[in-house]
Amino acid sequence: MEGAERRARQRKIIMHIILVIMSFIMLVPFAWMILTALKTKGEAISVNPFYILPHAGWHWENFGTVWKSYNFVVLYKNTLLLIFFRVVCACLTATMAGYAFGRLKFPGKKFLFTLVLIQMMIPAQIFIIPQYLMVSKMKMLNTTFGLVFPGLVTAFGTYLLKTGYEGLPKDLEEAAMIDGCNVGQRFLKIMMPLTRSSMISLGIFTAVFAFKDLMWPMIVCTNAQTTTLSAGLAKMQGQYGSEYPTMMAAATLAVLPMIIIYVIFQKQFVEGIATSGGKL
Amino acid sequence: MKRERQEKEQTLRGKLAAWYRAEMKKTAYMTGRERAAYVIHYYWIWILGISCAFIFLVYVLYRLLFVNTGYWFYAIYANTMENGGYRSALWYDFTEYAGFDPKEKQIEMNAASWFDPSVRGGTMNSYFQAFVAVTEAGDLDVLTMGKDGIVKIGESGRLADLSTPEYSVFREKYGDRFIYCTPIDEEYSTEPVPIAIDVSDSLLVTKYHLYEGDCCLGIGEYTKRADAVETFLEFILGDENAVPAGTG
Repeated sequence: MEGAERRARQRKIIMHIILVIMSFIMLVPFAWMILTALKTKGEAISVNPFYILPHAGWHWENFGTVWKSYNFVVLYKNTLLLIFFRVVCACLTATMAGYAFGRLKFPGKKFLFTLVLIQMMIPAQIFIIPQYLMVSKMKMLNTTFGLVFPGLVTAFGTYLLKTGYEGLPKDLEEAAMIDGCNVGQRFLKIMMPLTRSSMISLGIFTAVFAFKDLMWPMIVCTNAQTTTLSAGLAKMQGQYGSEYPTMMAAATLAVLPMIIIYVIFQKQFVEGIATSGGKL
Repeated sequence: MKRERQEKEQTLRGKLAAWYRAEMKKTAYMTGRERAAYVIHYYWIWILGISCAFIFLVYVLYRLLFVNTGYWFYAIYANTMENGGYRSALWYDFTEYAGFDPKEKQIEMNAASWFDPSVRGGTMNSYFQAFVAVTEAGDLDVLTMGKDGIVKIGESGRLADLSTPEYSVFREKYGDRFIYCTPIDEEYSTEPVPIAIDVSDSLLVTKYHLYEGDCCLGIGEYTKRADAVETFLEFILGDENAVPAGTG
């Protein structure tokens, strides 16, 4: 009995050691990024693997250089606006469409839902040119609306919410119907609050994808005043070339909002991945 | 059919009228404040939706009618060694030379693009997708990169054919610098066609150090600003006899 307990404890210790090593491996790129941001250019490009920590002092001024040359306040503002509007629009449109596809009966429902599924199967790049043309013709290049435009509706969100609505018991809706609720009231007051976890999952996915979206901001927002963190960083790569400390300082500043969002919504992040089965 | 539609309209109108009468009856004995509270309580989602739609409509109309967007000139300098983008020395010098007013329209110079069609998988990135989008939309005027890469892009048909009549001025001035390639589309041509201009001795290499070695300039297939491209070529090749745009 005692032997079995000891073996179990040993297994637990081994598992913990493996997990610590794995965590360490996952953290190495972040540590490398932050440490490189605090080095001189010479130290940063040194191939000596033992040069982990800066030798010639901690160069905090790299952050100042990047902060001054690129207006990070504007980049943060644009990125947060992009995330906010995309999340709001995605949740709003997906929940309504999901309810309609999951609960209502109307002619052409299957055909329309097939169109939604087809949209999920086609690579996003196919839509880039028509979307760019639409934004350009509406004179919305270099605007927040231009940035948000492709995220106004989401096929993935519609599918996710449809599945969420289908999983709810019919009795609830029927009881509301007997009490005199019309379709709108049933949707708003009974069904929508019950899909909260699916909506949170969708919100998290949308926020992460909006944050790391590079191609669209690069195309529609060429102006420094309207661009986002991801596109701004891509431009820095051009400006600073081999200035790795400066680039890494910029990268460190760029990941801050996502780290803050993750710390605040950590529980929802984990729940979201568990409920949708997705990967970020 | 028409009668049916009229009946339906009448029914809808009738329904709306009945709803309006019922609401008026309910709020008849309320004070103004109570009536406002009632409307907000029961119709807040309608008010929110209609307000958002109205604000959006006004915004779109404002952009369409009063905002002057667009470009004086749009260039992508791919695979550069130095910064030649927005507000770089190259940007300022060309803007001044061409006499463009940046407040009126944009002068877009993108020197933060890395794609090379001459190597396997060299176009599997967002930069190339962005290049394709702006080219297909007719916004791109100029693409510069090394010779091998630009030939590959020329073969795919994304650069203007400089043998066409609209580029006769370019042929006269820079015919000896033309780079040729045979298009993949055999229906278009089986003979080599000029798709780029060799600018290896231009200011892009000698003064701004965007490239080391060969540098070629291709013109976007659907560009509508051939005159801006001409001015740009005169600027980078140091044509002293050229008359800058806006001053001639």
